[in-house]
Amino acid sequence: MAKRIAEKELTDRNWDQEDEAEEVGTFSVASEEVLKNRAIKKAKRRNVGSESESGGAFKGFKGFMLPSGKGGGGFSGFGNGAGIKPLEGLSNGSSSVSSTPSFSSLKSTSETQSAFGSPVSNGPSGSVFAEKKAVSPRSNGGSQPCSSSSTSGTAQGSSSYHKQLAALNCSVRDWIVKHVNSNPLCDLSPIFRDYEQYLAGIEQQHGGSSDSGAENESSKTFGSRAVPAFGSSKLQQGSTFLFNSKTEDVSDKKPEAASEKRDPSLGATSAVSFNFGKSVDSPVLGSLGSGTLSSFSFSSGNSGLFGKDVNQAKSHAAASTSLLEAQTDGGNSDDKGEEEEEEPPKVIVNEIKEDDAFYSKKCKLFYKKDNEFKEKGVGTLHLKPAGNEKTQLLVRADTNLGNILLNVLIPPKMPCTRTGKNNVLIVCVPNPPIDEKNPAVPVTMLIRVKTSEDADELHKILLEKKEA
Amino acid sequence: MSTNENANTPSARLNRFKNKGKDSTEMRRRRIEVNVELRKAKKDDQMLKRRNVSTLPDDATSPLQENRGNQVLAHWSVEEIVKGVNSNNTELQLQATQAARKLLSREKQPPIDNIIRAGLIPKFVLFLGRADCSPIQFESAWALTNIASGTSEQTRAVVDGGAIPAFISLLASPHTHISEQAVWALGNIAGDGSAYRDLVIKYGAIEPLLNLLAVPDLSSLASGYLRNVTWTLSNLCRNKNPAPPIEAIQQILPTLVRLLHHDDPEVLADTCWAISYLTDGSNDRIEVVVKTGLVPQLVRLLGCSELPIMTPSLRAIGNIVTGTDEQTQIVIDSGALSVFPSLLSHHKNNIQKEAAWTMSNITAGRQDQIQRVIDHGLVPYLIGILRKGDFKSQKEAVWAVTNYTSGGTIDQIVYLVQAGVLEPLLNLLSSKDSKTVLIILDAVSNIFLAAEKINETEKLCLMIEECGGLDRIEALQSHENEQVYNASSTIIEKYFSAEEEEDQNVVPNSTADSYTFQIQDNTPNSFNF
Repeated sequence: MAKRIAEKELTDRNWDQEDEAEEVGTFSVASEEVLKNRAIKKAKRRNVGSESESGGAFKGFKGFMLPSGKGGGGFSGFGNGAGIKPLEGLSNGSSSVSSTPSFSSLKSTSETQSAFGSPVSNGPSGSVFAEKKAVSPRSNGGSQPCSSSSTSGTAQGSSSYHKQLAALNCSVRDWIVKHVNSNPLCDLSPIFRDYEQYLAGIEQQHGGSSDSGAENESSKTFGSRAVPAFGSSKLQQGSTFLFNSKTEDVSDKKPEAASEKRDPSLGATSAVSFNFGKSVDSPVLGSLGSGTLSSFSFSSGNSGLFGKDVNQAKSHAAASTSLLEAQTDGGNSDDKGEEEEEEPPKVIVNEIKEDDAFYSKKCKLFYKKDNEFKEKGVGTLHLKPAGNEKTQLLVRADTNLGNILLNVLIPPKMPCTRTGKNNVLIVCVPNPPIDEKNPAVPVTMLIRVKTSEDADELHKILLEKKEA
Repeated sequence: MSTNENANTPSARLNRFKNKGKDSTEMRRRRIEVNVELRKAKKDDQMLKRRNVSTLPDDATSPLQENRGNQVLAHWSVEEIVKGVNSNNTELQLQATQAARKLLSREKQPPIDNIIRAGLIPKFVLFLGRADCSPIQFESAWALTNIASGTSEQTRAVVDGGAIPAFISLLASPHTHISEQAVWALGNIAGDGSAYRDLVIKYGAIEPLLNLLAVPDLSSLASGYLRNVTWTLSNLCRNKNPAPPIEAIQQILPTLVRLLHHDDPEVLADTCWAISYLTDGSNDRIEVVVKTGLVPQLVRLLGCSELPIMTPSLRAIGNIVTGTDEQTQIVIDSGALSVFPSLLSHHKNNIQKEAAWTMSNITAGRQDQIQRVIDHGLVPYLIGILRKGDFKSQKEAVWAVTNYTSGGTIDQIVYLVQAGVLEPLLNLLSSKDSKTVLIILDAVSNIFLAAEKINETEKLCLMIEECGGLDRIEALQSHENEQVYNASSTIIEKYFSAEEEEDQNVVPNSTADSYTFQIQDNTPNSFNF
């Protein structure tokens, strides 16, 4: 029996005494010694923002959203820089800040059109496009990768539409992150209006169709939908794309977030990324938010005992939820036809084959900053001959975009050490740059591979090749 | 609590349960060990009552003096008192005794030890029997009462002087003020501890005491008188190791039940205290109390909203539900749960805490009892305490939740989750109290077990992640307490493990170049492909 007797004796003499208040406090961490010997398991995150930084990112937004942290959850999917690494790569990592001013400066429609119309004009993202156009991903090694600031963009050779859209989304995300971080009470509706406009611009350019070769169902859906279900179709489509990118980000490449039984309408699900902002200001979009919540986080009510009532309890627009879903359903049945999906989109990751790589290994890349190592990403390291008896070291992220995490020519006398159980340390000038302000400064990079044998092997090869 | 291979099979969890294999006796023994020190210290906290000068004016108590018009000298010295007491003059003895009484009744440091050392106690005890001179009976009774109200040693001096049987005889005095004084003295002696309590009982105090209340209507008695008797009776119910003899309790209980229906608040409070002491024991003790049928009245008093009465009645009810399921059911059937919305949100932290503790023992009961808790709408109140209670109350609420998840049906657990328990529950994972953390992790495991049965683990994982709970659980792997590490690690492994995982040491061996990793709080460096 789990009965517990009273902890403290209570009498007619002491009942009125003030108990010492007990503090909740915080727990004490174990010592280094102890921690060293512990196997600490990393938890799989189902929301995007699978890196633990996501906790920090959406913690700030908890209070902003509705009762539960669900908004945070939704938000983390949308706004978490840490989680959307490949897209970060698109806008060159830390350059996210730089893309922000470009975004906000493009308030007027005409400027907007031009900005996104011509890929070149948008800061680093622009240069991405430019590079992209000029150089195919495969031949990155052929040019002088050290000096170029190329990133891979969408590695499958998909259209610039996707790239522009990705850039747009990244910009929005970064802008929102920055502004909400500084003021959680800001009204985000202007930014979404801008977003719609930009999106419209991109649509016009590319006719809203995807020529990506349909590597996944969702982009097919994305391309074929013409009529909006609710709100702006651009919104949905954009969301769709983003949503898929999100799922790509999840390390095991399954769209877990969408794997629950959910509303058949992809649109509703995918719009999750926006539910956060919407519920803050615009009422229409608020309903969007709550409806999406129900379809995203839990089932849409017919299943999912855990989820069902919670949604009803938490959604502050319960009536509009059903309205939303009705609209969604209606819209989707109009649009999608055969696109009616019961299953979440299957994310197919085509592994990029680097043809002339003589050595490839899956790895995790870190860079050293302020005396600690920060993660750059997970991907595959390739070593390719680069002419002049030089070797190119290329690390590509393991995502559909396959953007480049590191792309350098191995310089002679590059410091290269074997460290730890399965790591190799090198020092080089990183490309793409890690510190925009000091792009030519050498940075210590740590490559972590699966086993110690692999690390030995990599180390040996690097030593060989750098001497050449 | 260490985790086993099949850490979540019912038998394994039962093994981990801290009180497994311990019957209530054992659990009580453990608690007693912890608390006996407390109790010893508390004895010095004036459990006994001293009668002071101010309680009664002199005039009323000394009709003899009034009549005689004798001058009573103020501030006799102990020597003078001794002299007077040893004289053969009744009048002088009376005056000396009264002088002693006055000394012993003063506020500041009454010279109890001096009086004892002067060997006056045996004299006073003798005077108790002087039926020919009731004033001297009264004065000496008062003096001895005040000596017995001191330390245990001082009480012992009184007992050693043979006071107990003398006082018991005085209970039958025709003078109410004298019998009242005897009641008071016996209350002080019995309240010293189990030994003297049982000695008082052995000398046969109970029957004459109860006889004092053998009137058709308690309201016909003077309120002060009734209060004194009630208080002394409560001291006869008090203390453990050993608990009072069962026969004595059975003798007293009918009167207690009667007192429970009286209308005087002090009487009610002391009666509830008596019942709280009586129910603080093994299940058969609880049974004796419950069998009297007093629980409904106790519940009524619980809802009376007078703190001095609510406190002991809540404690009594809380004690009763530590008993068997049937005893708990009696409490539920008496309508106790209807009072709990206000108790669980009471402004007094102690009431909230005791209420939450009581709930935790009800949710440790049968599933139909958990259902009654649900039906009374109490789950949101528990969750409310988790959100923003005093930490002690929160701990009890955590217990209530864990017990609920341990014994509840799947539907009941689902209801709990839907009611929003996860976030506030998991927020408490950061607390420094390891035990609480472990209990919460237990609850999480239990909820997962339920989720597994209905294939909702994914959803649950998501909910836990979204409210920040996953970060907390993950972070707990750095907790200094090994059990916490084990428990949190197990949960991550079972339900949140990434596909290919490498268990790695967080801190890689540093090379000569000393490239080491910073350990961030919740960034374990295992490598996921």
